[in-house]
Amino acid sequence: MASDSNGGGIGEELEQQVHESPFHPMEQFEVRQIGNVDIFIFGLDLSFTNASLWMVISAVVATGFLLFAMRGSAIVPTRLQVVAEGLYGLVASMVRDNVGNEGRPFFPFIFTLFVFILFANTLALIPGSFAVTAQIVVTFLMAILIFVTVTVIGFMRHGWHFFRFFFPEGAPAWTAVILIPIEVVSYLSRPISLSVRLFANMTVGHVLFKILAGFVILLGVVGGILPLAVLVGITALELLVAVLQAYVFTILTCVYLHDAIHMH
Amino acid sequence: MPQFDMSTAPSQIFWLLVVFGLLYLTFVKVVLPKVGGVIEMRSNKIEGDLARAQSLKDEAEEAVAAYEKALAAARAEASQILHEAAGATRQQLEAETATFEKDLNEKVQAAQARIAAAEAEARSYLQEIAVAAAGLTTEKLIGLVPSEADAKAAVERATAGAAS
Repeated sequence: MASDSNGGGIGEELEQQVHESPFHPMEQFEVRQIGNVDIFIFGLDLSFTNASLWMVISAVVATGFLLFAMRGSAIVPTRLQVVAEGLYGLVASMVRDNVGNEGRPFFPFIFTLFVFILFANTLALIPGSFAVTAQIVVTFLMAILIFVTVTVIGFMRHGWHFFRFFFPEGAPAWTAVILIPIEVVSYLSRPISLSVRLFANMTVGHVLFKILAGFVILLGVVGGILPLAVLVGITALELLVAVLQAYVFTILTCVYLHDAIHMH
Repeated sequence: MPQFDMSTAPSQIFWLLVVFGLLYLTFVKVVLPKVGGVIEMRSNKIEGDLARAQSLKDEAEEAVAAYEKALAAARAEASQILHEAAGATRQQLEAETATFEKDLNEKVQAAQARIAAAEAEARSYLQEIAVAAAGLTTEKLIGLVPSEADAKAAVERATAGAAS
């Protein structure tokens, strides 16, 4: 896949080598094919990669966890069942509070979105794993799908009136010259901010891990204690970031959905 | 940054759509009905239990009301019976007391009559004894035996004088 360097300059080749060095902080984001089964459909390389593997692992672990937690389906819940029902209740109240009753049909999608990002983010904290959500392609695809869906819902519900969204009600007419471009740009930048926020947070956290881990190895047993301690602290922080970013991504989706349904 | 290497984008897009789509279907078909079902079942059970508790409480309150009503009726009946019994007893007591008093009075009167008769009888004997004693005393004193009529007259005089 990416590794077959067809030509290119010396600089590009050097960068390629740097990325493939296991100590380079960016090496962990390299998408590599697993196995040698090439899948080509319509000339597109759709081979199974480490990114695909960790998407599958996230989905399987999420489903497995929820089903294992709910295995008793008890009236008086077990500890794990409380967690599973808590996730359900969290997303349900998020949808209810931000979208209202009209958000009900979108609850399964929003729940899947939240759980997928949550498990992808947290499983990426396992050393040696792959951070699915630290790929701009992944986050941008999710964001653009949400953006397009939400916009379509807006036009389906309000027709041409949905354009009113770009001009605040009650503002003097002449301000339209300024306000409409601003509103349009702010609306169009939603998928970018949504995807970059998650992508950048995850990338930075994992780069930090790699750099600190490199320091631990460089400084040895005695000197490495300090960076190791920092690494432990950063891991706790990254766990918080992983959960928080999943929450933020989901709640912003709810907010966009609310805008499409209720227009402000 | 390897993330901006777009040669892997088709694979990532494809697998994300496949995995997310399958995850969505699994959640919609299996996981969410399960979790939602349990939550609904619990809230139904709690509501059912609360309704049952309310109906039982109502029943208990009805029973208490019925019990209190029965108790009040029984109490009223008891006091009625007690009242009647007390009245009957008093009447009987009064009747018996009256009979007893009457009986007693009769007996007292009979006894008084007997006493008066005995006294009169005793008095009549006394006069006879006084006449005899007067005759005997006169004979002893003056050797003369008075006639019974004289003696009697003298005794009557003397007793009349004493009585006056």
